[in-house]
Amino acid sequence: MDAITLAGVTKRFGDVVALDEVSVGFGEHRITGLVGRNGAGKSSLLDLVAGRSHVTSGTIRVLGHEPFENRRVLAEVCAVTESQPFPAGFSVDAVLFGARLLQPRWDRRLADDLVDLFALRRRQKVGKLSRGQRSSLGVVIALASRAPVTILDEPYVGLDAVARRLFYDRLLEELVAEPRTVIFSSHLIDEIAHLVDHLVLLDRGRVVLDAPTDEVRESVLEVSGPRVLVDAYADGLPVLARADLGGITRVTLRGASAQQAAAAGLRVRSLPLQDVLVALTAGHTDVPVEHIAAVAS
Amino acid sequence: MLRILIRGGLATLWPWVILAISFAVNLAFYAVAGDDPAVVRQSGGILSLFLTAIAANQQSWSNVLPFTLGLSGTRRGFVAGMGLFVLAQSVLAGALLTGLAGIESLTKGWTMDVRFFRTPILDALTAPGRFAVVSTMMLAVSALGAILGAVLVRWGSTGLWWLVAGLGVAGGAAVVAVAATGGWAGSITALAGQPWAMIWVGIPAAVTALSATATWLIARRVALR
Repeated sequence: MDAITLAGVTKRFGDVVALDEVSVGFGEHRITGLVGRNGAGKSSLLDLVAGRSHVTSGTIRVLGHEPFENRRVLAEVCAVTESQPFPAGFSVDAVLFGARLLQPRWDRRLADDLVDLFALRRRQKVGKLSRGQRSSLGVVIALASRAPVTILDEPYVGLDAVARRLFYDRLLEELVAEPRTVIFSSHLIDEIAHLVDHLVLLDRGRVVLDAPTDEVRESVLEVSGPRVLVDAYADGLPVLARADLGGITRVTLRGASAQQAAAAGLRVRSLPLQDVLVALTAGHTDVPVEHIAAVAS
Repeated sequence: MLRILIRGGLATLWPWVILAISFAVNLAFYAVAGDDPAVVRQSGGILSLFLTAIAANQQSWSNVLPFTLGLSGTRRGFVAGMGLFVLAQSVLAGALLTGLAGIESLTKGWTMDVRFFRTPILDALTAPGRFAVVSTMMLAVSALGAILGAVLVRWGSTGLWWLVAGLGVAGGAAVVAVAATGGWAGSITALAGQPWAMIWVGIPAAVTALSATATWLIARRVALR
């Protein structure tokens, strides 16, 4: 069952179409990774789900209801973004106090625990926090809210690798203890790959992929070998990327079977999830693999 | 909302700090000036409260509205909370300034014949009348601050400039239109002939109502950027 559904949602900013007739569902108690290039429409979609802005056309339902100005629904939603608007003059404590008032399932003990874990100073003004500390504060709110619908839009910006790992571990712990519907938008795809069980890929305001993570990972394979064998095997399959060197050809294929390719005498390699998504988003055949790899890195 | 405003930042308390500083400076000045007849005993320091209240309310809106929306609050909840806060603050301002004007009168201008909390315009009024004027004036300036804050949140600083430019053009056009019809002197006379309650309570109350309506119309579709 979907906790969040969008049906034919369009969001325009003047002449710019941020979301174009998007229809997608986000499963209840599932962690969905929302991915795509800059400007793909990820933040616009999340803002609509969190009631931060309103649709131009189409309908959104969060837990069965329209979220915009609907306090009953929004009380069940906690959204934390990379640019979460914390007033510079508020102390960390005042921000947490505000979150406690607006988030009815707030877990004060968990918040205290996380504040210590991320070494935040309660009396420090938000304006004096570093980028990473601001992100830590957002992470504390996201986790301690215990909101049934939790939205994370690049919440880790500025966090070091250790802090990010702490965040991921605590997120998983919390979700095991109390399942939530989570949408996690991120550019660090491989870093969150183990967290998300479903992926939605946006490209230029449209959903181009909506599938379980494992299925996505298995849907694209890199096959290499003698050109004749590769061409014979790849015939009829969508080629996302291709590189030729001497008589050896390497192709990135969608819908290939690892067993069949191996049986055809070819080398088969699974790609990291990030490379898979880059190949899918690049969306053009005959793009050199080297080029895709460069973009992915 | 009320509790968030009280707990966090307290931008709307700054006007009182500024007023206290202004009062202290005035007392020090008149103490040093002594009985110098060249020194006017009427201070205009109380205006600092009303002028800074505009900026304070604008700041509260532009800071706390996005914060509230970011934590899943609603625009309606924020506006209602701010409304209550401003109303309470205005009533408090009316009571406090009326009380201080009374004390100033009893102590003969803090023993130095200083007129800081008393103004010639309000001298003729009873304590309830003074309370009503100060409270509605405070409400009006707070509402003006709110509309500036709402515009800033919805359209950014460009929106603020358009608002100021638009008000300048509209106000200027109205003045020119009245003058062109030869009704300028008549309008001033008619206004001066109104009862004090109409001028000092009715007009601020109308400004408050108009600003509050405009503020809600702007805020109800604000998107968090």
